[in-house]
Amino acid sequence: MSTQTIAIENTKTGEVSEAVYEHPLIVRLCHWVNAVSLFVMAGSGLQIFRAFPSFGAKIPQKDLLDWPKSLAIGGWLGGALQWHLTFMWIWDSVVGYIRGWRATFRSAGEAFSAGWLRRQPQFW
Amino acid sequence: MTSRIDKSKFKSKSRRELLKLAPVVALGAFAIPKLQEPLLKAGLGFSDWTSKELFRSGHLATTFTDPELTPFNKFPINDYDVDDPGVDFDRWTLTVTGAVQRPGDYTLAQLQALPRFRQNTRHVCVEGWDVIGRFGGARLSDFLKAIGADLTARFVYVECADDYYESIDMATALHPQTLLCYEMYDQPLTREHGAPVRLNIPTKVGYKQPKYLTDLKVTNVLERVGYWEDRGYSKFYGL
Repeated sequence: MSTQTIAIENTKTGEVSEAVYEHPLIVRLCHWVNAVSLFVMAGSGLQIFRAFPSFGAKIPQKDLLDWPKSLAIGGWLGGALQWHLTFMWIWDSVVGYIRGWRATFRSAGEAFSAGWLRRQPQFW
Repeated sequence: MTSRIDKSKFKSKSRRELLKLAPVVALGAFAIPKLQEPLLKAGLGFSDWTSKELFRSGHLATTFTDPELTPFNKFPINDYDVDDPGVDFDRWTLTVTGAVQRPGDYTLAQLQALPRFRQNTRHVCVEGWDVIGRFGGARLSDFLKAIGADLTARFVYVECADDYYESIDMATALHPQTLLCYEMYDQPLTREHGAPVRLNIPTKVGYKQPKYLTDLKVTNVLERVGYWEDRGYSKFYGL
């Protein structure tokens, strides 16, 4: 975002001051909470991915995913799931706030009534 | 521009800069070792609670046709199941305790006398793999009714011959697809797959479906939740 600076003149005193455009506070709060959540979910997600087994010689485990553990979050599968599921709710609540809870539930309700979810063979 | 500098504007601006960081600082609580564990526990607990609330007793897990089955020899076995838990099949009984009218030792023949159900369902592992298997056995709900269990109790807790232990919520225990499984692919369970009896719960992840059952308890209070749960995994883990 490029900063836009404008000059504001006080009509009574004639004093001119600078004003910088900023997003509303709630948008900035949501942005930074989301930024952290995205980082945590990606990191723990990679740790969860590390747990996927290769089932033998066909795909050796190291070829399947050799992601450095130091760049993953959670230490092991159970810990990563804790981080991932916790920040899922933080992420969701922020995304839900931005979209508006009413809009979120309304679109989910429409998807259900249109049978979209029911037609899915699996739910993951 | 005037040459006079309004100091109050600078002050307010720096406070706004701080406010920008406030939520990040709040999330920094996760970096404090003392707070981290309770916060993550609360997050996982909230996920478990919503899963429990969303669970529908009459809603069945997807079933599959026979051609969709994973061949029996491709059905994975975790490494530690290669160790023989040393079950004496001739003397095996399921020991029932807790909030039941008829506690005691139940033989495999008694379980097999209950109506048999067979289902082709997906078996999902927490590690990320899944297979479609054919499972057969008695409904746990039928068994619980036969032993006069208090169906308003909160949990069914089981112990296994390989020192594994596990608990499931009563709603899941009474689900029609929850089986005391003694058959796979229409054959008696092999030792690797948990002979003589294991739990088959298509609405749950794999680690909540223990093998080599020896003890079953109907209870409101859990001293231990489950082998993996006590090490940090989800307590409910519905699919």
